[in-house]
Amino acid sequence: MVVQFLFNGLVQASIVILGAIGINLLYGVKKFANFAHGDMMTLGAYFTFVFLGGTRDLLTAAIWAVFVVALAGVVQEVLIYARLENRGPVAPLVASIGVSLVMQNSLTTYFGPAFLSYGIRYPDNWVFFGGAISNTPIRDLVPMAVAASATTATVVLLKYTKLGKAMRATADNRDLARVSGVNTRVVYWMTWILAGVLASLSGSVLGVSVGTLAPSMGATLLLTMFAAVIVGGIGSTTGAILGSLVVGLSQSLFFLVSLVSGLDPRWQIAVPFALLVATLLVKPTGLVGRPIGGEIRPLRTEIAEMLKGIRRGLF
Amino acid sequence: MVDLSLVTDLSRAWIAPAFIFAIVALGLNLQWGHTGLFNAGVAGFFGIGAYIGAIFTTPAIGPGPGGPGHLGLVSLFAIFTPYTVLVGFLVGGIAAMVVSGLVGLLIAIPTLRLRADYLAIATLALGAIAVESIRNSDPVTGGVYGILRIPRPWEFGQDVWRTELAFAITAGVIVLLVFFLIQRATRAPWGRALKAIREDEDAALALGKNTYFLKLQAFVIGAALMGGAGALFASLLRVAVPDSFTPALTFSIWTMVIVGGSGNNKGVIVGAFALTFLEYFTLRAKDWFNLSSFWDIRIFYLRLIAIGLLLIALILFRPAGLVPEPRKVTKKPWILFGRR
Repeated sequence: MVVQFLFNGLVQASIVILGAIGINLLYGVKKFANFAHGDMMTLGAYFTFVFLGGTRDLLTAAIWAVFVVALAGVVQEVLIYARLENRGPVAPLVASIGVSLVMQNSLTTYFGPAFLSYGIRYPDNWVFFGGAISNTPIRDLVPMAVAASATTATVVLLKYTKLGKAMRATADNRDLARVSGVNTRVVYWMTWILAGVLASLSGSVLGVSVGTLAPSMGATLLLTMFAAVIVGGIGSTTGAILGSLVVGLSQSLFFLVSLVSGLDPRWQIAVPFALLVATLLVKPTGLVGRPIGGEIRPLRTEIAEMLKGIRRGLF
Repeated sequence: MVDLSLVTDLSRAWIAPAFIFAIVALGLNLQWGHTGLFNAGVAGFFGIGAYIGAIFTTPAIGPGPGGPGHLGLVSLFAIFTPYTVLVGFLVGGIAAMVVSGLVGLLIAIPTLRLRADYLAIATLALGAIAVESIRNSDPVTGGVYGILRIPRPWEFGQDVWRTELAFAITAGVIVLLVFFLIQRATRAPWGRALKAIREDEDAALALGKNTYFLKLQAFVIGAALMGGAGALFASLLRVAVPDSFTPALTFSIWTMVIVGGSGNNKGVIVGAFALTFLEYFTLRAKDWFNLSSFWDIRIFYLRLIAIGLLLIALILFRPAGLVPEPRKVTKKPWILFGRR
């Protein structure tokens, strides 16, 4: 029973990982939180649906969708984010809210607000370890396999290729990378392509795993992905992986706890939020913390500051 | 003779919501425009306020076939007999402000010391969680069924007082009051300290300002205003359901502030009227242009696309908004050189 819940947590985490790595890459290289990332996932899921109509083959359709979403990422970069380069973290964030509204509602306008489905017939459950884990191979194993291989590929790319080195250099210090001969514009494009590829895969996998597509499917996962990013440590790929595992597993463990204790299982949605706030309270840099710009004073000092202010009179 | 039905329709679907959103936008303007604090959970604070207000003005309903029932505290004020609802409304409005402010305080304490986007992520999460919590707290909030038949404050009075116009005027008076207070506060040294934080927090800190506490005040007051506006909103719609408080609401209020010019209190009210008119237009376009049912469903989404495009365009080309914040330059530059 416990094993089964842990397994379900891993399935949930594997979808979150793909999005969280993308958010983290963009945060590291472009220095802003992409609020439209969930909608890039939705875009991938819907384009998989569109191409499925032509190819009748989920894998091919998902690969075609990857191209579309990566292109959408580069188009965003060229049209919007390249122009907001020196405007601090908030201007691109607000722009990404606009992008999110446009993407999500364009999909709704075109496809209608109703649910769609890939129309896959899920085969019977497979049973492992003498019944400890039972799962549907397409719904549960495919997401895990896709997430594991895509994550490995990304880590290898970041660590061992010249492009990965250039991306890490740009993330650390853009100007220094530029004078060292890194073409930062290309690095930005490649970052968007990579984030788009991962988002699209994540969206297709989400569609397969949930079984239905809705225009808000990615946006509802945004909170979980941000929680994973912050719990793991913003700007670090290892952090994103760890954070997604923590968030996914604690969500499924919460189900278990609610079964035992009689707590309402619908509160599961509050788990990522609780983890997020706890991280911000205790260790704002996350599990694999890199320093995040500026000195962070301990909470004690801040609260003392607040009490001092209250003692001196409110205004 | 004025066409009364048009007045009623306009005040119900444009003027009154515009006034209410103007209060929210003024609150967000205090947080973002004046202090530079990014709040992405406006709808959450607004929703909390709406439910608190609704609970204080409606009678309790037990669980039954029509839904899980909800809490109602209006009977507490029964001693004020003809004015029961009005008193409940006042108490509920204040309670809505207090609760929203407290929720804002709790989320602000750990996040205000971090970079601006942490507050954005945390408040985005808070907005989603607030609405989900409302949805899940069945016996208190009515769950997905929400709270129905929320009264208006003036229901004890004559027929004139019950009209939509009367409610719109009430909301307008509240907006005037809030605008006056905020305008005073932001022009006072307090508001100038907030602007100093927005422009350069380290400099403000070096000048001896308690920046953390000032940011906390701005955030909590803004959140309280959003809560109070929520209580009014519940009374305007007469229903409170969790689906009213989506992130799309947050983002359209953001657009109001950015259209109006962040930091400019008057501009923000203009922005609220403009954006709410867009919503009114999409509501009534079906009747005005004989839309087919296909476009009738989709015009709502087209409005959100338009808002998104507007947001992107403003950030790219007019970051100070259509009505930029007036620059404060002294007319007596010589005071800088010591002559009084």
